[in-house]
Amino acid sequence: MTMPKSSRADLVPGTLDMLILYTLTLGALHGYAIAQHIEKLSDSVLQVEQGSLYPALERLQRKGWLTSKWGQTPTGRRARYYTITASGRKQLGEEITDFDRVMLAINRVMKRA
Amino acid sequence: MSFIDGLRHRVRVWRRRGDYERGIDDELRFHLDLDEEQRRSAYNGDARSDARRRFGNVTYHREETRHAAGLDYFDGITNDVRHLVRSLRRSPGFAAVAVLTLALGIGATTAMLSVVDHVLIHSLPFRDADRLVMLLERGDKGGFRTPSAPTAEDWRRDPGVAKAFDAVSFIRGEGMTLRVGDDAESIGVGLVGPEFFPLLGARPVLGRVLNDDDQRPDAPPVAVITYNLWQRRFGGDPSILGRRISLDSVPVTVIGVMPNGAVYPGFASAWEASSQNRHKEVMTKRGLHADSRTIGRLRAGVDSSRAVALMRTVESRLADSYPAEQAHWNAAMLPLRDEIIGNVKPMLLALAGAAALLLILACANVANLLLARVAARSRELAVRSALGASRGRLVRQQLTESLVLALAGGTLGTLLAAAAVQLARKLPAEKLPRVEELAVDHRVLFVAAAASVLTALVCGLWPALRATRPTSGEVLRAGALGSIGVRSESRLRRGLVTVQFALAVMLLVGGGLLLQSFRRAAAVDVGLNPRGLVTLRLAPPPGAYVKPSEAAALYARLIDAARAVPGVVDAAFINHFPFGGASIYTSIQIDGRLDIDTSSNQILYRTVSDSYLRTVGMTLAAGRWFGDADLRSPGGQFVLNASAARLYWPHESAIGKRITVHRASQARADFGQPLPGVVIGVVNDVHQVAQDVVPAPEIYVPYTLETWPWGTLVVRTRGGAHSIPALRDAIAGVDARLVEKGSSGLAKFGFVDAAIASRLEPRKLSLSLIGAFAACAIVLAAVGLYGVVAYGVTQRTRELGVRKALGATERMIASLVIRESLVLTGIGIVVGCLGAWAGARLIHDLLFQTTPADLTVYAPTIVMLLGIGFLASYIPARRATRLDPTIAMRGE
Repeated sequence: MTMPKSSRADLVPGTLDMLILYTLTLGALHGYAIAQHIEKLSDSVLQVEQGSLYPALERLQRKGWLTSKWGQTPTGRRARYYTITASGRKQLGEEITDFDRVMLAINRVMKRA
Repeated sequence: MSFIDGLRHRVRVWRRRGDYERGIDDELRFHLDLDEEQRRSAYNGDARSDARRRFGNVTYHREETRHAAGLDYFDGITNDVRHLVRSLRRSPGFAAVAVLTLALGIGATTAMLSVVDHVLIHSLPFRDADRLVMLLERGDKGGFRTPSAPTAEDWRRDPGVAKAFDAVSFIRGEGMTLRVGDDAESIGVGLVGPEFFPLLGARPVLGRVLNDDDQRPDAPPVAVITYNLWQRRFGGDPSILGRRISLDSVPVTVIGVMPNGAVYPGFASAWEASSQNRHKEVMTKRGLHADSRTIGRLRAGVDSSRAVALMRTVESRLADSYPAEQAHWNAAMLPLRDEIIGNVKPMLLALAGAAALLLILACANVANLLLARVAARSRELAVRSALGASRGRLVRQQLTESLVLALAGGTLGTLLAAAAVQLARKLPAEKLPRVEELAVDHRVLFVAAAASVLTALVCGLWPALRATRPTSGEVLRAGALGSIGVRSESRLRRGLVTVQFALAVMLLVGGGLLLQSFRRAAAVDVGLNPRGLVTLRLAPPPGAYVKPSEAAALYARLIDAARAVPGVVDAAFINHFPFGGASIYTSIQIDGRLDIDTSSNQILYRTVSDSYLRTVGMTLAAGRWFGDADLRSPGGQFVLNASAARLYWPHESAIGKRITVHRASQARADFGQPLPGVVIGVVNDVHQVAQDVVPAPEIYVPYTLETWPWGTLVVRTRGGAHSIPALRDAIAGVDARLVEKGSSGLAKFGFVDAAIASRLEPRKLSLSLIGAFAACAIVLAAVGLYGVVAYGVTQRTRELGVRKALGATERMIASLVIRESLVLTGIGIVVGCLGAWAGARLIHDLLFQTTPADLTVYAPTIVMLLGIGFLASYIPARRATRLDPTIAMRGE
């Protein structure tokens, strides 16, 4: 079984999970809203490749970091809302720590810190 | 996150896979819709296709999402199973043989070891049965005797011995007539002290056991009965407590029932307090080693050698005080388990060994089959691998196949074991103690199943891993060239076939040695002519024929009455007929001979009528047999058997020697009194226990000299069973009370030929079981060899084609193939013969007039297996000769 290729293009590899988890700390959101949120906050610098969003959401659910529920949007459409779980929050903390360490290391290499 | 959680999530997703798949579609569509709306508000172009463009390949993303959700996880397995069913259907023979082999290995081993485990481990229903021992005395010149009651009492009272034992108990065994209503039967009764039941560590299922009050001489007679007697005679009546039965005409109240199987000594059907003993002298005479047992329960943590040492200090004191009775005898002990189950142990261990061999053979066969199958498929695997199937996928598929076969074989094997155990439960209880509690041993089942399943998995997985190696391109190229195959695998398979043949030889030789022993035992001349010989157990009714002269007159009348029946050739009386179970030993003194030990019972005591010799067809070796005058003479005339004569007078004739024997009928007041007399004749030995048991020394005494209170009427008939109704009428004509109704009554006719044949039943049973194992072994070995040779021929198709094209004859081709298989067979046979010869020492106890190296067993085995090796390779060899060289060489 091959693992899905993670977001190759616009995101630093491996950061999509972290961004999704972080976004969901704001509250339950559907997939489109997650993507929109990430793009908007990054001033469209970070483009979530749509196709990798949904596999990532499934993967995160499988790991028990997210749960999902079908619900109604304010405009009355049926949509799947994702919520972060306790273990998801714990995972987010770990990922942020890792990310910070890597960023710090890169900055040091680039002599910016 | 653990693997299990992930699997649980996958199962959850998979169970709602329809909803889930629809959900993914809905979600993606929702995304596109929303994006489209956003675009539309931003500019006027084709918003939908713009959204699509931004999104990318929807189908691809859906598949990715499905994969991430784990939806395809089980697709693979479903596919595997589908593929498996297809491929097994294409080769049903393979599947059937693999499953049956596994089932056979698991089933036979589990059933056999369950029986062995049951008998050796669980058959004693006593608490901490390992601490129960039988206490004995061992003679300086060898031989054992049970201690007399006073000796047992001396051990009991010794403070040193008391440190080693929780308790010691003397049990006196006695044959009594049990009467319930009209029905009478002879049963064994154990006379025991209050310490007996706590010592055994068994509680009654009903009522209570004997206590101190029951032991008072004035206490009312009470009895505890066995579960068996309770079921058999009282139909398991729960209101049995308080019921009056009659034991030797004494009314006795039943106070308790012991649990099933809690029987000691083995002959006992009931127990009474030892104070009820009708023969007081047994408890007081030091020289009397009558039918008794002394048992003990070792204290926890005391080992038997220390206990024996403590008993020996008492013994040496006794030897000083009572030199006549106790000199040259010392204390000894045996585990009680050995006494109770001793004689079935070697047979059970042999059967367990056979079952284990069969399991190994079955595993080898499964390994062989699976290796062959993967080898045959190596090209298919290589092609699929080249076409992009992942290695994990291919291996998993192979594993699924092994797993399904293993599960099917395991299930069938479990059923087989259960069926076999069910069958074994039908055996009579005297062949297998506590047979009704026999059950499939789950540990054994687990081990057997685990061994087989593991074999299947390893043998499926390992070659699959090899065949799908990244370098498997070689297989493809090799295939194009005609293939030499994977060398190490075919070497392994040849090794396995050799092992299979070796194991088959071991089982066959083992079975053959037992068969020879059986045949030789069956051919033994037992010393009498059993054909048409009928026996009838006689027990005069209570209060009648009490005086010896009255009983003797009764026996004489019965003999005459029987003789008058048409079809009857002759009739005779004996106290205990051989092959009948019961027998009595007595002690003997020889005038002027001090080297003969007189303190133990060493000679079988038979009181007979003068017609006995010709009635049973015994033969005289020297001197003469009893005549009419000897029966009326007050002096003692004795006849010995050849074993006794040889034992006491190895270098001279026994005729005319003066000897003294001791009266041995415990029911008589003159029990133990000396009977002096002279040896007038020697008869050839008659086997007393079984064909394969050496006859013991025996002395014949006229029944008028010592008249047994009961006994056996022996009748030589022409028609066997046809004479029985008339015989019964003739007996009833003398005294109707002798042939009471009831199947368990005393008037039970027996057929001597059947009784003798039944002595070889255990041999027959083990023989047929080992025979069945050996037959399975041969089939498995043949299948294994056939598989290897057939595969070899397929692999060498091109080579053989070339040979043929170059002018090799069919004969040359066939001999090429067959020679190779005979080499494998030959090596297997040589190894197997060595193994069998070594293993036969382990079943030495079961062999009769047969040595572990008996050529009459090895020669046919070798010929047979060579023949099977030839046959198994003949079919593939024929196929090889029929190859069309042009087709063979063109290959693919």
